[in-house]
Amino acid sequence: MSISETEVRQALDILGDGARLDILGEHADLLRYAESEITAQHSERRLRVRVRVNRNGRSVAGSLETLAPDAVRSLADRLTAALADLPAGQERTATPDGDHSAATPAIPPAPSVLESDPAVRHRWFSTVRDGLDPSVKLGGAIRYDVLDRVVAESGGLFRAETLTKASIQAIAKQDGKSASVRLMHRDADQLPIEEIPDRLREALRPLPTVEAHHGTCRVLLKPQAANALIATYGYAVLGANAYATGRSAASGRLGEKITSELVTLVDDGCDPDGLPSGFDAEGNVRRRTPLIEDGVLVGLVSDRRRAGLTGGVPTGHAVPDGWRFGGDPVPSHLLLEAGTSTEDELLAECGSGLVVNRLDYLRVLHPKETLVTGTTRDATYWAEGGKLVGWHPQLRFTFRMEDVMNAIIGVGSIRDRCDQTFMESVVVPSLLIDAGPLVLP
Amino acid sequence: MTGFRDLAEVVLGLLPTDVQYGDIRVVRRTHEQVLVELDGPGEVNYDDSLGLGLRVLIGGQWGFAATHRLDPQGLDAVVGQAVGQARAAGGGHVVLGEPVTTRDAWSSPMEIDPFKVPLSTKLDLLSATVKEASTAGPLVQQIEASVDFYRDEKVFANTEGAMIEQTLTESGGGLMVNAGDGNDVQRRSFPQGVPRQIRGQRGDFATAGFEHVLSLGLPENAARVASEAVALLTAPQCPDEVTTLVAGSNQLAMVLHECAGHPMEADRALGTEASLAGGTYATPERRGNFQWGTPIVSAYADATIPGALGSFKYDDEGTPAQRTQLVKDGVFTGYMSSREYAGALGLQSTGQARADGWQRLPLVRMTNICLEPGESSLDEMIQGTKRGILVDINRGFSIDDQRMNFRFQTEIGWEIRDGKIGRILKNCTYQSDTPTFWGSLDALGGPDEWKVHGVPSCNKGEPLQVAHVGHGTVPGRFQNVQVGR
Repeated sequence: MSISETEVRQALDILGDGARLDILGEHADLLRYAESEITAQHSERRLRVRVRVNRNGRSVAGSLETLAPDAVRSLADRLTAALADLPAGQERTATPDGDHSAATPAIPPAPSVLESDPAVRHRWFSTVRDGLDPSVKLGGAIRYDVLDRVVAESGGLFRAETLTKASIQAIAKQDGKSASVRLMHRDADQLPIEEIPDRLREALRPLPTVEAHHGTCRVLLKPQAANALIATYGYAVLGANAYATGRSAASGRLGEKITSELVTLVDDGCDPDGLPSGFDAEGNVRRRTPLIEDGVLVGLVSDRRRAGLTGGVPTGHAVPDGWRFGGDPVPSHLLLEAGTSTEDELLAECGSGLVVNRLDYLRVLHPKETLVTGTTRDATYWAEGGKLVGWHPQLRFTFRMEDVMNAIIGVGSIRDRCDQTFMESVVVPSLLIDAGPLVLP
Repeated sequence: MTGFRDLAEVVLGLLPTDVQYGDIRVVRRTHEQVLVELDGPGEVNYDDSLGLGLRVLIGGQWGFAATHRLDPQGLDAVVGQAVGQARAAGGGHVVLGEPVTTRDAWSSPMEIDPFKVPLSTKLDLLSATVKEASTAGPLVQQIEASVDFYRDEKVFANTEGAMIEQTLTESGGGLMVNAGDGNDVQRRSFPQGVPRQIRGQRGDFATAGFEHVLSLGLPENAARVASEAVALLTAPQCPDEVTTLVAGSNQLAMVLHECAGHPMEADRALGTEASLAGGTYATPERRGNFQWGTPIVSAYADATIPGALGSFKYDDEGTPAQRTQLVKDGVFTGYMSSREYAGALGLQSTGQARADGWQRLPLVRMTNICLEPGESSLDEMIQGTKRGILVDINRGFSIDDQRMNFRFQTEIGWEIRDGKIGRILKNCTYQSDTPTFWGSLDALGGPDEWKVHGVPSCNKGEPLQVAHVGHGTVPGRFQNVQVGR
């Protein structure tokens, strides 16, 4: 841990009563490539110190890149002056002292990421590029992240962890077709880099391009595509504030069936199948939170402000101040329970239909109606009689997620780990969607 | 910024002799945000970020490192990381073209320094806005009125002899109202919308001072905007049909952004954004012969427009701000570029290398993407339309990875019947692909209706970078467009 507890305590002393620090020491190394050549390398070290001061029903915030006492003192003076300008209001954090008693989950950092050097990333790139036919053009990125986190409060709370993450994205293009693989893990040694060329080769299978189909059909969403659906659905529907204010499609429906009974969904920041992290931006311990059981809405994710909806205890889903995806609690580590079907069985059950490997640019048009629009990307196939028979042209889907979640008729037995810009990890299997809610334009 | 200049010179002095080219940016970014909600002040936030980014070219291959540590150990480390990366790559063929040797200092103009305006003045303005919006009744569930101010103080220096100081001050503000009745939730924004649920950073931004915020008329428009949000709850759905679409200039800003802005970035055309954003239809062999739209449409990028959010004097490689034609008389003609990507295309940089703060690598970014005005007007377009819809303010959108097929949703629409505005319509979307849509354009508003919209949330790159860009647009009319929910 490179963030000194002594410096943190000193900063809290300067800031005074009601202060909370949310500190990130970020260390990111990136290798990007396109057309089978390296195009950029990036190494970033930064310290982000987010400060919030809640005092007498008033709340102000700020951020710095240092814990140096003079800089903290300068910000403290500014925040104190701002507090004096604010009218007294309702305290926005219902339980300002947090849950000190819960132990911080232990998530060990991986030496493979802590001790990395550029040569490792170059080796990965070479392994994938050289494992493909020279006519295949490779694009993508390899990224290593080390994140030192501290959340501490003047009331005594102090939590710290170091998170590691390695990820690789490989997009292969050949003859106007493309396929992609995205892998990530807290431990770089766990990533099967040598398997990527085979996976890309298999996805770039030499099939003819079929005419675009129209109307509805069964659609098999492979894990990367299902990941976008589940993450977007969770973000729009399963947060306690959206639920409480009536903006969620699930508002008022706790205990009711809201999806196919094949869906069992939890949020668990400590499950090693995801990308674990132990606490949220308020310092609340991340708790395993069942959300949907056999299709029935059984839970929501909360922060301190909305802990009343989750038994008075925040589930550990407060988002950082200034987060670009809003201020409401939203799921962070979704895991969809695996089913029993093999990929071949799902394809057989799909019969004649579409197989989608990736859903891209999926955007919410109407949160309350769960209406979204997005496109397919990379390998999209047409199946006949349970066999892949051709590449299908890319297409746009506009649909209600609620309808699709209710039309799930098959769940794969193998889950993939992925992330989203608005979610730390999502672990999902393939999903077979019955004909109806997804319409090929 | 003497200290920044000294720092830059120290770091350049640490570079080893095998560095072909190096540049450094020392940047301090200050951000202030004030946000007031229905139940009172929701956010007062002061951000301060200082650091440096170093880029080196060795053997034709880049290395880049950034750090907040400005002590001698931090500087040594950042040089070691950038150089180590470039050497590890084992050679490349980056060509930068003509050297940049400019020495200059510049500050963006402003009338009222927003960082010197008392917090109480900002709170009063926003509280008055929220109070006006709340008069629309109990169905108003959420109000956010916010102002944001940014200041970038930056020094750019390179091994070719350039040393440029720039200070840019940006100001913006806006209002968002959500109304709900238990069954539906509808949103209205002013002066423009922001996709996703970003808190603050809403509205219209300019490279200007507090005077820009005062000019927006937030309190004066708040009651109308909130009333429209309430009215949308009971408004009819936008019908599914192929019809005439009249788009306000605000709406066209985002369409232009997605259909012409991103696709005409040279790095994207050369495949380097494949891992995140994707490719583009605007490939090099199509330059000069791809029919992008009807002959009445021309578009350009221009970083020299006074006060526009995407304006500056020099980009983050020291290249002067300039105007670049992207579409001329309906034909795709040009790219936005940096030194590297212009070199790869055999061109000169158009001065669009920009980085999000000190910690990010400069990328090819939009500046101010503009439509040349036409000869019509919004009123004439409506009067000349027998049946159609008028749409304004973007609510969300999605476009494919080649920037062709898109679907936009607007916050509000109105029927047009026999040349007149009719009922409000909700959940209006329209779907098309880039050349078909712009090929159906038959009228553009004139110079009097040309306006620059400042958008502080353009995303690109990995790690993700957020750029502040402008769009100079006019209303436009499009024929035979698929609209619907």
